[in-house]
Amino acid sequence: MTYVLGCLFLIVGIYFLLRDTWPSYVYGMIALGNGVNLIIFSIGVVKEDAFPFINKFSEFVDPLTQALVLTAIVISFATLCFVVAVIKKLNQLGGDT
Amino acid sequence: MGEYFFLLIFIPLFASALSLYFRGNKAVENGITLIFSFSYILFAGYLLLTSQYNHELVAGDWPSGIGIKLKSDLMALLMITVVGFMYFAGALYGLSKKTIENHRNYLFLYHSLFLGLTGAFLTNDLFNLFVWFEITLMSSYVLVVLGEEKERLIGGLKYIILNFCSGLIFLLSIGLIYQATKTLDFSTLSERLNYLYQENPAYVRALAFSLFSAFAIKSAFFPLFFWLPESYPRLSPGLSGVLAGLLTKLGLYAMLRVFGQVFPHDMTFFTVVLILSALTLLIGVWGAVIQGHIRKILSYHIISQVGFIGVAVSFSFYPDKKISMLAQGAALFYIIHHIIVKTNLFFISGLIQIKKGSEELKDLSGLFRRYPFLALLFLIPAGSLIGIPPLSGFWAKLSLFKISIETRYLWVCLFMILGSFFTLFSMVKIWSNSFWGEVEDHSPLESVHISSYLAIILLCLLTICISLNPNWLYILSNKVGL
Repeated sequence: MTYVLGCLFLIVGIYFLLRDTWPSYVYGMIALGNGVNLIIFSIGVVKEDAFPFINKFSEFVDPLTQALVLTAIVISFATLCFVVAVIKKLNQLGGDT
Repeated sequence: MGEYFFLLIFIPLFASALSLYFRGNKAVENGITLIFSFSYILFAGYLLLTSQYNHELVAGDWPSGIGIKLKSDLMALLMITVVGFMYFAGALYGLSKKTIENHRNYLFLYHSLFLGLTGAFLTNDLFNLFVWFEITLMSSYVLVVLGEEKERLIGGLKYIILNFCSGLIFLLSIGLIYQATKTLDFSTLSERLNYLYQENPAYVRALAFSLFSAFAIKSAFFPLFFWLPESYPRLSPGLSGVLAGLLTKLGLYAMLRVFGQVFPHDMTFFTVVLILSALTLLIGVWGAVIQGHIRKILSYHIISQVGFIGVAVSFSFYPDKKISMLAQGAALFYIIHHIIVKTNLFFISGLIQIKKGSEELKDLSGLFRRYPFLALLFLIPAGSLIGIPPLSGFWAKLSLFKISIETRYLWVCLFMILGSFFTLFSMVKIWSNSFWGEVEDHSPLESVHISSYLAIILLCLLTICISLNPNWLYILSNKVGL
């Protein structure tokens, strides 16, 4: 399920990136980044009542993918913020598209 | 001393923190930059010359394969030493105000760029490779858009978005590789991928292709190189030299490490990458032929040289073990030669731009009469890039020809000869239009700080050292594949 959702996000992201306007770059980057994160997240098995660490009470799931996703979210979010700042600067300088 | 190799990461880290603290105070900042970059070369060179490599560090005493691992092998140390020379030369070149962006955060970002590069060379884990790549790219994103001109911001935006996409492809393939093998550590990954390859070669091939497409964007391979000539020629001379020398080569280094040493060597994958590299080397140089702006010509030369290195890199995953080892050495030699030469050419063309205020070939003429010394300095890296015999480019190309003749890929030789010919052609274009000819305008030229000349002379001396004694570097880089 999360796989399919991730792939849908990727398709939406590519659609927005191919539209050649500055705001749509931002939408495209948001969708692409989250799509990839969802796919990686779903690679580690997601179960109800299972924690990503070893414990006595329940079975546990692979913690590494969740750690990977955390790092990836930080990086893609930082890049996104920076692109928004660059686009704002471009708008101030005055320009079309 | 060898087990303290991780201090190499801390040198640029401390330097960037200190220059953030002292920002605005030019004298202190420049002092910090020179001292730290020089100690970086000294330490890396010491480790390399006393052959204290193959040390490992696993963070937090975790068992190997679980904790984050850093490893200083020969390939990493060689690259780090060369990068250290660029670090110092870039700092020296940037001492005068005209050669770099006049921005108070410049040196902070400059150090964090080298922080990312050092980490990427030392890491021994696929995901950490991604993270160090992103640190390098993040600093280069900010450096590329440090300026007010609209053209530069648009070029920078293209650069950022394309590299963002390549980062996502990288991440996606890391996820798929983790799903297939449940590990990301290079040595364990290599065993498990080889095992998987025996059962299901097509799956491993697909993983390799998806990872390759991520590296191909970063290192400007044939269909994906358009971001490079858009962004580099608009930067300040000091910055564009460092970025042009180092960033695309980081992608090639990652390919060499991951596909040459970790992935199983596959014939189909090899053929596709070889064809793409051959196309890159020819199409890049055709781009150079039609341009009339010095740094644009040089930017297209980067693409064609990436093609040359790509040929060597693709032979490093040729199924035959002996050829693959030879090719790893040849690729490393070529990368080292190319980093030095390309940075130097960008520095020199930057000086021309500062002196004459223009880099269009039609505005320049007769530089040889007015500046014979600069012309002589230009001749060394230019000849080396083309591959004129005693210079380092010749030795780099020679081993490439040797490998492709040995494996009977003669069409690759044809591509390389054509590529070298057009490189010569476009270099002659720069030479005859800007250095030869009558002195047309006698207006006084801008003077340049002596430190910029020192940086260029340092890099020329390095090229000459490699040219006169290629055997030393050749033997050292051939030990890499063992």
